[in-house]
Amino acid sequence: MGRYILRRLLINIPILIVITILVFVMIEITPGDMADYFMSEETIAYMTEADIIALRERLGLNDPPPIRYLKWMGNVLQGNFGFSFVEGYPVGELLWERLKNSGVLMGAGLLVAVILGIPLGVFTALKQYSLADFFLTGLSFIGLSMPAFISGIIGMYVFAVRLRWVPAGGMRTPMVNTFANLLHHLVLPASILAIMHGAQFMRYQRFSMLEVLNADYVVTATAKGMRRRIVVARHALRNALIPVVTMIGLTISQFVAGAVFIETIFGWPGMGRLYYRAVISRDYPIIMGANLVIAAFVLFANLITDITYALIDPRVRYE
Amino acid sequence: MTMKTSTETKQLTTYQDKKIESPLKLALRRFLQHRLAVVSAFVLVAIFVLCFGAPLFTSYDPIGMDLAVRNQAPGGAYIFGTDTLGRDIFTRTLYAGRISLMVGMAAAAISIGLGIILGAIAGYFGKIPDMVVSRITDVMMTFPPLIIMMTVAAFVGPGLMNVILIIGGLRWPATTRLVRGQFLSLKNYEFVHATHALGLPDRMIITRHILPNTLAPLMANITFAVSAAILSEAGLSFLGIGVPLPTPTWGNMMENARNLIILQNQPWIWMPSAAFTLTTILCINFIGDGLRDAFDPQQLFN
Repeated sequence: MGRYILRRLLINIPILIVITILVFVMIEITPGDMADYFMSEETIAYMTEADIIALRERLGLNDPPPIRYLKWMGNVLQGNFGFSFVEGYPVGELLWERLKNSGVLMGAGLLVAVILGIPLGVFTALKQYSLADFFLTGLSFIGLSMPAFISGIIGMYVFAVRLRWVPAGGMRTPMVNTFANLLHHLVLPASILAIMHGAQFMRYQRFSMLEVLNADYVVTATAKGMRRRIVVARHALRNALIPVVTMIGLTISQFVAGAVFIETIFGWPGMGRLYYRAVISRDYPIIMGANLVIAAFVLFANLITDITYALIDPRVRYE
Repeated sequence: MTMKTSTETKQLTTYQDKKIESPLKLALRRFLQHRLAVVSAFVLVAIFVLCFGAPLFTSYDPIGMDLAVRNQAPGGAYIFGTDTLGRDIFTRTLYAGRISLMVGMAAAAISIGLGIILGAIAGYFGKIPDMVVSRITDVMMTFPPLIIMMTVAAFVGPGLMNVILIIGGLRWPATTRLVRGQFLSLKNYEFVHATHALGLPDRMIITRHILPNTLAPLMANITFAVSAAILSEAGLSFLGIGVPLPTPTWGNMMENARNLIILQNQPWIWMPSAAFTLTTILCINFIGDGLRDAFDPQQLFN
């Protein structure tokens, strides 16, 4: 197992390098660079040729692309992600700050999704073809089909604009730094995420539970005269949870990219919104840094998922 | 459960009567039993008729503005009201549907085409082609798709064609995986060995003999690819990096809701396109669900 983990970690390093190179190349082949940010219609009138050359020199834009990439990589390895002139902050600081904010939103959403989705999935599987099953499964289908930007604007319109139960955006009221205030801002966007992902977990749990309930060993346990509750809880549920754990792991890996839509609609200062703004304003240092962080997190989360999978399912062995 | 038993007995009698249905007929009959899917098909046809026959249902211009009738609430001459530039929302919603549906179908066609070609090559030839295709699919499927699409969309700039190419060019890995898996198992069947023995060229074996056998599992995948592509376009346009104005799409009409004043005071501007998008997606997904059940061989003999 230890050797397997080590090998997986080592395989991920070249993948990360390839991803950052791809992003770098894409930035290279599009016209314009970081110097454009300092040269608007007005400023260009005051700038001499020498000023522009000095500016490009200072930003390190005169080096050939491969050297610039290596310099960037070297700085990253020393913990320096560069500086965002658009946002006015060092990129590393920004990424860390936004990562934490996204973590609050995503963590809350995912937690509720698991608490809702898994028991409902088990329940609907046990009551297959009942009215409750029909109703809940139908609802989950709608929850799955509903894109985040539609549930986001509808949720905002109903609960923030019309009913005024929650604030219409942001993470905190300025100058108010209480937990209750954060919770008040959090409840709507997190609920929308929870419903979206909860619907997914529920369907998955229902499906895998139904499959397990028909398995021979469950029939055997029932035939032995074991009580239904024990058959379900001890024999069926434990096996039915295994694929759902993988599903949850895969969802976590997507989480670091932030809920782009929910964060932009609700003005939540997380990774998704930061990345969206960076892409719109061509904020290259952030685009490079964010992609590296997102890719590293995705690969790491996948590894953790695979390890968890092996831990909870003794039939799975990695060599 | 009861429904299943009744189909079963029907099945048995047909076999006894020696009237064996063609697989396609059987699938069609099973699809028609899926009531929700049939209703969805009708609703979807209605949406297509409304959007592509838009000039029959409205006489307004979707792009020309009339500043004298800005921000009219629904009712009177404008059943869904007008937007901030005095354009009829009902008209724009229908014309937007044309673009959104066309982008969705074109992008899905590209992604499915790419998916089938790459999946067939990887599954049939194995070895190095398989390794290359599979690694690319793995990486593309782990990275959040929206992040890739946003990045590429922002770099190549907005535009109808760009959006189609971006969505089509990035959505193929799911199809590739499916087709590859099908080819891997089908290529070991005896009928494929027979084609080798007859000396058929690979191209013929792939297109004439193996590919038709993958169509059943592909059907559901195709419908879900269309709904995913429609949503991707809507999402990109909602973020302002998709199809640029003044061309209306459901996505860029919903983008208006990002303005808090419009969200609050003129809900008629964004609600129709949200309702149309949601209905379309639900219908396509229900149809896909119905197709999956209809073509599922396991349910045939259960």
